Amino acid sequence: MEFLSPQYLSEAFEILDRRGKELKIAAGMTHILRFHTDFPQGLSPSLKAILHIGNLEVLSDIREENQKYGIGSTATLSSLAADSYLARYAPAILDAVLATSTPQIRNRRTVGGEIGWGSFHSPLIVTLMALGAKVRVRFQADTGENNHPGREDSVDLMEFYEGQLERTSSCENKQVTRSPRSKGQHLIMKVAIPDEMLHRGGTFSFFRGLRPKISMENSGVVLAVHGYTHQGVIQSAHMVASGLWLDTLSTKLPLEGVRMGDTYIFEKLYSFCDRYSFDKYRREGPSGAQLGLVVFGLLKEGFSHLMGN
Amino acid sequence: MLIEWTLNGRPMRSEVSPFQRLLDYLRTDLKLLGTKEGCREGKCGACTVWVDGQIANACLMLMGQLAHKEVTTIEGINEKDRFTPLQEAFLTNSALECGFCIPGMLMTGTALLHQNTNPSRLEIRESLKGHLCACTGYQKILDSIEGVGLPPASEGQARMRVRKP
Repeated sequence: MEFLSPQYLSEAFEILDRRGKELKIAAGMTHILRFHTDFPQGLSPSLKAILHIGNLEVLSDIREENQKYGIGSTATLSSLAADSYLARYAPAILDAVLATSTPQIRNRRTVGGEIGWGSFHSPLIVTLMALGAKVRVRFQADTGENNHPGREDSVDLMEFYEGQLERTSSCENKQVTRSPRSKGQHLIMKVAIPDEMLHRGGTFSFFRGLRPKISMENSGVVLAVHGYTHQGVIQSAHMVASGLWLDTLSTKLPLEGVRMGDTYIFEKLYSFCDRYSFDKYRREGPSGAQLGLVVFGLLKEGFSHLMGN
Repeated sequence: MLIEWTLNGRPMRSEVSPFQRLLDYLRTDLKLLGTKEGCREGKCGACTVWVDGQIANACLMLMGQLAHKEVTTIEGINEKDRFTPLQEAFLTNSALECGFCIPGMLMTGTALLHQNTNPSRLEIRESLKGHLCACTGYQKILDSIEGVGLPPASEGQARMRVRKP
């Protein structure tokens, strides 16, 4: 097993194009080292090298460009938490980061790693989904019959995944995560949040999670909401949730026309959660009715906080 | 693989496997036993060190990741074999029993005090999220970190915030 740690992005692309299939791409390595306790022995035999991109500073930028707020894939979660622009315009991201694991791990874990691992318990993934984030991905060049150079593409984070991936380590650790839609080797370059989701007038967002007391790493249910108000009246609200039911739920909340601050919001939310078919999305875990109650509790907490209660 | 890095302020050139964990290299190869091995999963915080001034779990770092990084362990935070104010506070508050988790707690507490000389109780609790202590129940540890921001007490007396009943 080789450890390749390029200093330049072009060098990383060259390695990716030449050896794509036999590489494992990693940066902070917190997910992989926790899961494969006997790393690197526990990895698939087809893997021949680790491509460590953690030293590529060009991928760690967090800045506004082309009416989007771009977050480089090797930016650490703690650097997101320290970003004053995000704290002001997307407090949900700050809440999501602070709900992720421990301070030690947040200092090492990267945004690209969190997206690449695709945990259903990840606070950051649901929050970025609710904020309409797109992922910029660089695919491996095809040196075979088609012979096309490596291409870059932007994909909606919601569309980035498809179904489930069961990960198993040599120590019999098992974890079900989201599976990336693209089956070819790819490098996550950055995540971009459209500006309009961040500072259009009347924008609101929040993150809430329910964490089982026995686990510091995996939240039971994670939920993020993003919406707009006009003159204090909610125009739209969109919720993304996932967690121990092992699927992602993305839906509009029926709050159009309700005044922010009116307790009628809670009646509408209760009625929505009571009727919503959580069973349709549930693969494991508690019943649909129980999930409905948990989601209602989190929505109530989030909206109460927004309303200043 | 030859790794050039800095350990406790000293430039190092280490010929190691890039897949060796930092924790193993510190304890086995360098015999720096202050950094403790607990869970090896980043849950207990006993192996906390500073990497480029930020706290990190030595059990979740590979030597290959450390090129040109600056690592500080518990052995590197003392000045001329004298206790730091936080170490003194731990002693005077009796904030340690078996002592296994204490090097990690000191690394995190010192890093927090570098950022904020007078952290709130909540900030201290948040910063200690990545640590487990089976003996003390955390209160005396919190008191110690909180107390360092206070004016010095007379010799032998703990620097503690007196709470109103």
